This record gives sequence, C-alpha cells and structure tokens, in this order.
Amino acid sequence: MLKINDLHVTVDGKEILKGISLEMGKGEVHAIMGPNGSGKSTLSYTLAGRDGYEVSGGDILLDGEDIRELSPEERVAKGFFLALQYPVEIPGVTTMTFLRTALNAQRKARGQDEMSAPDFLRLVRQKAKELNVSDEMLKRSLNVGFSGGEKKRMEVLQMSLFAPKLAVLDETDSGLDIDALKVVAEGVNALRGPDASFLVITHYQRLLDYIVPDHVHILAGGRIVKSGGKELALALEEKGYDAVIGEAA
Amino acid sequence: MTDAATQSWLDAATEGPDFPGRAAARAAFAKTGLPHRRMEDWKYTDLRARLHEALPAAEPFESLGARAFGDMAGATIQFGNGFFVGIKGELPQGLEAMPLADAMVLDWAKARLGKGKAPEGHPMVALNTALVHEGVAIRVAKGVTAGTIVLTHEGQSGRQAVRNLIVVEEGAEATLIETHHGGVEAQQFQQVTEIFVAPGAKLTHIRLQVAGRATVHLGTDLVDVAQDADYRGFVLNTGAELSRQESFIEFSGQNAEAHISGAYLLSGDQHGDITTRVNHAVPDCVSREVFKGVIADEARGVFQGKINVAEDAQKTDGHMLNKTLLLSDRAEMDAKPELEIYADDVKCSHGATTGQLDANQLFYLRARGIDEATARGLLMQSFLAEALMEVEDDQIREVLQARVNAWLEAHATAWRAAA
Repeated sequence: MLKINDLHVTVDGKEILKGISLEMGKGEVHAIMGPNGSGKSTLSYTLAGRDGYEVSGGDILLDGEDIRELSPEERVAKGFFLALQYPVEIPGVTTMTFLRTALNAQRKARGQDEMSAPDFLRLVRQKAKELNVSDEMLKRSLNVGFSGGEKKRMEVLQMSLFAPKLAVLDETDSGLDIDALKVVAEGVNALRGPDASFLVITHYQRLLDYIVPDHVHILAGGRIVKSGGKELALALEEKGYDAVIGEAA
Repeated sequence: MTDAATQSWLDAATEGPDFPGRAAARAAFAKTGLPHRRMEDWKYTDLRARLHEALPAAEPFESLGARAFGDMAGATIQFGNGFFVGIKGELPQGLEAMPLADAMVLDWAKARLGKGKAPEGHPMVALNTALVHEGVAIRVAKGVTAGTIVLTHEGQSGRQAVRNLIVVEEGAEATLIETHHGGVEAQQFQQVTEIFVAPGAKLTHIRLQVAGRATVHLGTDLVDVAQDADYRGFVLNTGAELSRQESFIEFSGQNAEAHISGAYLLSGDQHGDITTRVNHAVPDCVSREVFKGVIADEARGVFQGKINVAEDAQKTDGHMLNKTLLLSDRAEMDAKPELEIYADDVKCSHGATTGQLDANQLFYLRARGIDEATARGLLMQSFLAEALMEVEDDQIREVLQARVNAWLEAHATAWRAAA
C-alpha cells in the first residue's frame, strides 16, 4: 500500500527527515509517535505534497506508484487523505459547498460522473449523523466558529465521505477532551477495513487506546529509531521518550 | 495659463440646456482645471494625464437596456449614451421618474437640485454641472414602500455628462439598481447623482459597473442622510479602462445610518478608484464601509476613504474596512484610509490590508482534491464574501455573486495558463 524508502526531506534548506523507511500493508494501522520537533508534521505534509517540503532523497510509493512529483490534489485522487492538526477556516464558503466541490473534484479526477445534488445530500446527512455533525454546522462557513472538537469531527466526516485508501491523521487528538477523542476514534474505527490503511501520527499514547495500531514507530531527530507492536506505545507512556529513545540509541 | 487638457474640456462646456449654476460651475472648473496628481485627493488618479482631450459629445442612442437583473423590478429606466431613452414597464405606485429637464420646473426638484454637498471646490462636480445634458429625477413619495426599480446606462461612444436627482421622502423606502455597460468604442462617462434620503426613509442603492474597456467612468454620489434615515450603497466594479466611483455621505440628522460597500475586480491595465467621505456632522449616526477587491495583471486599484467627525457629533459609530488581494506582482493597490475626529466620545476605526492568498487555506483545499485554479477561485470568493454580505436582498446578491464568480473563474484559468 505505502512504501517509504530512505526518505530525506528538506524544508527551507534544512534537512528535517533524514532517511525514513516504512512499509504499510493494505488494511493496516500504523502509529508514528515522536516528541516535538521530531519531524512528524514534516512527514505528513511531505506525503500530502505540500509546497516547500522538498524530497531530497528516497522514494514514496503508493500502491507501487511513485507519487513524489504529484500535486496534492493528484494524490487525493489516488486515494490519499490527510487529516490536519489545525483544520483551516474558510469564511464565506459553506461547509456543504466545500464538501460537494471537493467530492466532485475527486470524482472528476478519477473519471467518474459528478454526484447529483440529492444523492450528495443524502450521503452527507447520513455521514454527518454518524459523527454528530449538525445540519447547522454544514450550513455554516467551513470551520468558522467551530470548536476544536467540531473541527476534528469535520475532518473525520471528510475522511468518511472521501473513503481514502490511505489516511494520515496528523495529531488529530491534539486539543481534544476525552469525549471528543472517542467520537473521532469511533469515526476512524468505523472506516477500518481491508481496503483502508491508516497512519496515525501522535505525540501521546492516549489516542492509541481507542484506535489500536498494528505497528508503532518512534520518530526522533528525523529518523525512525524504533518499531514494534502496540506494546511499544505503552512502554513510551510508562518510561517517557528520553528513556525509550535512549535505549534505541 | 490653462493647460491644453483643461482647455479642451472648457471648450466642450460652452453650450447646453438650461441648468442652474452652469456658468458659475464652468468658471469654477476653469480655476482648478482637470484634477491632477499634485492635488491630494487625486494623487493616485491623475485625470489631467488620462483625460487629455474631451471626446466629441455623444449622440442619443436607443438603448434596449440591460437584463442583468432580470425581472427583479417592475420598471426599468433606460439611458443610451447618457440620454434618457424611456421607461419600460410600470413604475411602482408613489414613485415618479422623469427626464431631469421635466423635473426642473417642479418644486420638489427645484428645492434640492444642486444642493448635494460635494467636498469644496470639487473640480469634477463643477465640470459635470458645466457639461450636463441629461439626467433622471426620481421621487418616492412620503411613506411609500416602492420596491425595486432599475436604471440602465448603456454607452456607445463619445462624451456623456449625466446628472440625476433621487429623492426618497419621509418614511419611504425603495431599492434602486443602476447598471453601467457598453461597447468597445472610446467613451467618457461622467455622472453626478444627488441623493436625498428624508427622515425615516431608506434607500438601497446597488450599482453594477461593467462598462467597456475603452471607457472612462467617473461617478459621484452626493448623499444626504436625514434623521433616522438609512442609506445602503453597494458597488461592483469590473468594467472601464479607468473608473472612479465617489460616495460623499453627509449626515444631516441624528440616528441615521449609512453603509457603503463594494467589490472591485480589476485586470489587464484597468485603473479602478473608489473614493469615499463620510461626514458625521451630527451626533448618534452609524456608518459602515466594507470594500474588497481582487487585482490581476498590471491593473491598479485605489481606495481613499475618509471619515470626518465634527466636534459635536458625539456617539458617532464609524467603521471602514478595505482589503485587497493582488494576483500578480505587477498589480498595484493604493489605499488611503483616514479618520478626522474632533468629538471625544466616538467609536471609529479603519483598517486596510493588501496581500496574497493564504498559503494554508490554499493547501487545505488542494489536500481535499480541489485543483489549484478552482481552489484559488473559492478562496477569492471567500475573500470577497464579507463585502457581498452587505447586500441585504438575497436575489440581488445572487446576481452580483454570479458576476463575481464568472470573473473569478475567468481569472483563475488565466492564472493557471500563466503558471
């Protein structure tokens, strides 16, 4: 599904990722944990194809295809999704208009017909209900005036609507209380299946109590210093980053 | 010694139908001449350089009017080349409209014509008085809720000088939609509109300026807002080679409110100027300004906004906002917001920014599969929404929004081609 091989990434002339290798199979959930400044967000932005994140070495293969030269929207069309740590507010564009524009853009890029307005409405309403997203939120400008929890639920709603093959969740747990965290985790778990892989990036182990990963990787100083099963996250929680990274070094 | 450009306009202003103060206005214009960049108010829009020669006077032209606002209004007043063509449809009960010449003998018009307050020594208002050949006078009778009427100006060629008079009497209410469009030939269109919103009355005044690209469009609104009255002006400027839209708001009674807003979308080598002055001469009035623009290519935008608060105009509430997006590094915006406050118990503010699209927003939309050109279009729409939301009527706003979207689509594609 996703194969990252010796990935080096430079931002503003500075090397942030210094040779990351990672392989994810279909339907797997991997977690990447790391302290602040370890390169977690750089990895997610690089996978998404954001301008300014320059791949200076290595490969990124999605289903065997090299995606390094693809634009963000082209990656999305291939089934990639990034849930952002800080979803962006877009005043004057209603959430509904945004969702419809995005979904139809993806369908168009895949050579599918645009979804009709009634079909779209039915689909959004159903997904929104599952995630506790009110009609009123859908009518409001995208993310404007939304609480932290509402913004993250909106990210999960998009993920559910777009049904990606590979979703990266960049610190989706940050700023959420336990109830909001559960709603988000349930939303993600509902999407798990043989055709959907997830890369969950987080600082804390907490989220992984609810989204249980198959593999855990520890990122520090731009490298994966340790990989293991879900017990690795628990070890981190218990001993702290310094101790676990120290053991690895 | 009169410069050649000014002389050309003085020569043009030697004859015309009877109009009060014509000779005095010509003399006043002769003194100042065409405004130029060394005059503070004209620093960014140098008419002496741009209007170097008066075009021949326009000939009457049987315009069929414009359909931009569909059947939103019962009646459409049509102008062709600056001449009154006629009124299509039926005017609402209690609303009169007639050529200015017919109104000049009537008391309600005589009492107000020429009384609209312009900044002292305004050269172009004087020139308009010296040149005027036509206009329309509209009166909404006391207490009448008249609905919407449309005034269309279609230009074809030549020099056009129009003077309008709009009187909304006590407690009356109306919406006036003005459209300016026209062909590709060279035109100089100049219009002064004197507007009187009487106590307790409300006028919504929408203007769509989509004039041809060889047109110089100069418009001045002189608005008197009386006690408890409400004036809502909105302009969408996408046309003309050079345009300057001035709104001079004069509060003449307490508890009145005025909103003047608009959007400007400029491309190619267009020059678009919005100049406003709100004079809080009396206490307890509210003014709002929201002007937003998108400028592409080598176009240039100008915003000059001034709020004056007189010494006894306590409890004034005046806010002004101007924001511009520049789509190219050759595009230019000159913004000059000013507050001049002599009272001590007021709430006034102004803000002006010029910038580019937000990189975070752009990435977010693309990371949802929206291609870059569409994403840019959506973000520009988002940027302009604050101004368009000032239009209260949904139907009118949708028409304006559609115009805006069409422009954005065209320019998002142009941007993609250039990238």
